[in-house]
Amino acid sequence: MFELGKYTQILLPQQVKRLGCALIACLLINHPHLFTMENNGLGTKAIGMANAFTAVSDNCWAINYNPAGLTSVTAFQCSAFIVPDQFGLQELQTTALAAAMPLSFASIGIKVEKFGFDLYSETEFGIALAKKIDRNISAGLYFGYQRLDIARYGTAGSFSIDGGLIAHIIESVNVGFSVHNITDATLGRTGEKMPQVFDLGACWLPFHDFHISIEMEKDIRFPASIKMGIEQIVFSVIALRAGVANNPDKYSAGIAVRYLLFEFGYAGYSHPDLGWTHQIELSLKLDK
Amino acid sequence: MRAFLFILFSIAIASLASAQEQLISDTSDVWEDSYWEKILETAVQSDENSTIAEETTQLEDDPLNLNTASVEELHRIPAISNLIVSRIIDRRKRERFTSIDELLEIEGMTPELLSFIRRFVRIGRMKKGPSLSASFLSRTSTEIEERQGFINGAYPGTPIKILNRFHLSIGKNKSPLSSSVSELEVGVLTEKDPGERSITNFSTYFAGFSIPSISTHFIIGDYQMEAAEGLIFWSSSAFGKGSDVITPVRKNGGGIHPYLSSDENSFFRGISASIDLDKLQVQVMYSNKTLNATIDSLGNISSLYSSGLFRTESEQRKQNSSRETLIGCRAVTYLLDGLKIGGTCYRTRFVNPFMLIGNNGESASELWMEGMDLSFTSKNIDVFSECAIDRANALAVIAGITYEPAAMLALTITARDYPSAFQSIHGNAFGELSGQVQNESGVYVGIRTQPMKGLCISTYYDQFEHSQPTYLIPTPSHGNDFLALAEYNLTEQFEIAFRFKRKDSPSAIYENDLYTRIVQQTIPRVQHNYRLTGEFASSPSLRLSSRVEWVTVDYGGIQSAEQGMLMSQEIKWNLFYSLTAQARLAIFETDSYDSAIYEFEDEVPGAYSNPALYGRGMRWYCILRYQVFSKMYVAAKYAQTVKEGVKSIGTGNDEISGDSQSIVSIQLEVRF
Repeated sequence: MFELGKYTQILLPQQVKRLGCALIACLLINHPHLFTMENNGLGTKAIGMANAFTAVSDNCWAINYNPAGLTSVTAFQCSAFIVPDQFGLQELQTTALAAAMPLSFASIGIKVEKFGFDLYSETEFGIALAKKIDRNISAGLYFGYQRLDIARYGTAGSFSIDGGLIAHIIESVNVGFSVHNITDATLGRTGEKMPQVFDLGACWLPFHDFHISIEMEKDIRFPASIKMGIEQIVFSVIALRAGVANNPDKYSAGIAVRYLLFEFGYAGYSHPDLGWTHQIELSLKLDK
Repeated sequence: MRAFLFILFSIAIASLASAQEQLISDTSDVWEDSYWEKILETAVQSDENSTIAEETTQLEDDPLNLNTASVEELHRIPAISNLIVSRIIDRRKRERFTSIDELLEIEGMTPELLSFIRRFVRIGRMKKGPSLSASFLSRTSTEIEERQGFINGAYPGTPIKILNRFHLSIGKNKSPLSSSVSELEVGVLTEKDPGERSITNFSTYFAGFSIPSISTHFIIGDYQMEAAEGLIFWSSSAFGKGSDVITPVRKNGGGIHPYLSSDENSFFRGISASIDLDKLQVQVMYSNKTLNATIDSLGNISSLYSSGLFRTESEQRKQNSSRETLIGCRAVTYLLDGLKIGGTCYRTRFVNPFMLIGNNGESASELWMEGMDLSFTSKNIDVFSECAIDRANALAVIAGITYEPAAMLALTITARDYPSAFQSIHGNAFGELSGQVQNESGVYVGIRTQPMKGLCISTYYDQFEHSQPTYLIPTPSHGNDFLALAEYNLTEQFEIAFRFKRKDSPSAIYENDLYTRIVQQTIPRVQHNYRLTGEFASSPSLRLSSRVEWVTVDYGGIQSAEQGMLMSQEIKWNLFYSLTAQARLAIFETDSYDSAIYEFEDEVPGAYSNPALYGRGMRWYCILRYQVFSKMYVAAKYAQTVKEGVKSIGTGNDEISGDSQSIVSIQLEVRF
């Protein structure tokens, strides 16, 4: 019988690391979207709520979920976010920065994101514009540029556009819709299609300090996923979050603490096969 | 450059001039689309060629006078029940309508329904002298991707579809007797389908005029006949089972009216006369028209060819390949208030013998049919029936009752029995087998109730049986169909609806038998559809609509069950006074065509389609409508379906290589 342990024992730790990196690189090269940044999400609030964030989208990470949500940002805010080691692998690291602020004609947001390691990396930067087109409805567009770098293979870049809507149905209910990669952008000379993802969700605020969000997500290539998240504010400065989702089954939790203009956030989610992933975030918010 | 600036300036001035008018009409538009979908979803075919919408457009061109239109004419308005028609008649007997808004005084009329039917009615103007109205519509569409038939030369024409329609009506003051019939009415329609050579591959035309002294209206050219419940005469398109569970059951045909639609089969060509005597209406018709049919080697008509596509040589051989001569008559009398008795008959002769369906290969050159209908409508009850007997003495019957004991409750029960030997080639009655009045018996029960303010629950149950094999099922079969719909107005602006539909009706598969012969086998099939819809009319000019739908199909364990889902989001926005934009994006995934989800959608104004989405992919469209002048607008639509993981779409000459299918349409309409 093949005994893995027997062989791993004779390999030096550095060799194991190199082997792991090579395997991950092969996997990502062969399945360019298996570990896309979309799957993890950005921002501890969204991730803590299992990414059921399309109808919520009330901070600068709306740029990643539903650009229409940028209209709910009432003053400048920016945020730095890091996933040190997705599923315990340092090579699957994500770092991202986002900022948003309202202008006289529209709300604007920017995002920079990097995922991967030296052999394989994805970089994205983009800008979003959002505007209230009606008393109750906001619309937003995001223009992004993605670049894929694979060591010894080269690089490829692509532009894509995301769009979103948020409708304030009644005082306590929002409905949100977003579509990622409207233009069906492709990557590289092989014409590899970028993921097209469609989200439709609703958010209910039964109390001023509690809200619940439910969402359906359909990536054009995969089965639909249902996501649900809640957030409870306690003592006005602490936010507790939790969420569940399927396809794949996962659950998440998070916490955020606000102090003056700063907010520190943590979120973690569990994948049924790959284990826990932790992420942290530091934000500056000029609103009250 | 000056000319361009002048045109721009003219457009701007015209836009401002029409702004007020547009604002007024748009305020009533917010729920219009959902009503259209509710009543048209089952009637509109999967492609864009929706004659039922064209027929309603005709009604829009020449709206009915609320104070003078007859019962039959009022019943042509979609979504209007016979009881509401009866109440309109009662109301105008007491007091004439002076405003369309007075319809809200009618029991059963809701603001949403009124906003939908507003376009089909008018209040008669008492100005002296002749009135003139004319409309011209030109619609052009083409697919971006080239189909195989255009590449290999099988389709000799261009891939462009062109439809032109002109309608002119000159009228004087209408007396109640002559109803809304114009003094002179002329219409012409030409159509070319993709791949056909001539721009007039299909043309239809008519001239109608009234002679008030003899209370008679004549139509020369093309016309349609819709009588009673459709056992003997009806057009190709008819409202069927759907979210409106009460109204479509009761047809109450409006008799003869001019034909100006693009369906190339279901009309008559000749002359007709409608004589309107006090309590007696008589309609006589003569038609001599070519048929599009498949002629077999013995010279018999083996089947009628209804697709309207004449591109390839074999398709062109079916065009005008036979001829039918028909003489028909219908008389209707109102003996008592609300009591109507009618009689209908026709005799028709074919140049080639017609192979009768379900009669063991028997053919006939002559067919005839006779029938009677009886209905009684009072304040809150509507009883109706029709029976017809054909040349072989096969008797078909439909009878029903609609009862509205209170504004919050309406129910209907309808029973039908169409023998398998019954031959009604011009009928299209209520039933399961679309377009066929044959081989079916069943009972339909529909209930609509409003248990509390803002909540409306509709449900129907239809049980049916086919005593002989149908064109889809090789054995006698039976099944049932159930629908439940709950619509709740959370606020005046937001409506949420959940619809559940279950259909238990056998299906057929092809299998190899012991001797490796391919045989058709009947298998059970149960389909469930769950649909959640939210509509938000944020303002009169902006509406959002979201939908999620799931489907499951179970074959009783004989073959793998299937499932599918669809999500869509739509926005409709009056950007400026004269410019309306509409866009929808839908993403779908189903296991195969058998679990396809139908997505009802708007085309350019006056047309609708109901494409079947299956496989894995995305569909989106965008429609822009610009009102150049108050009576002139242009509209354009771009639609695209992208399928994931396929290298081609369609088969044979219709195959498109690649994973996307796109179509662009442009329409110009002018009304005077």
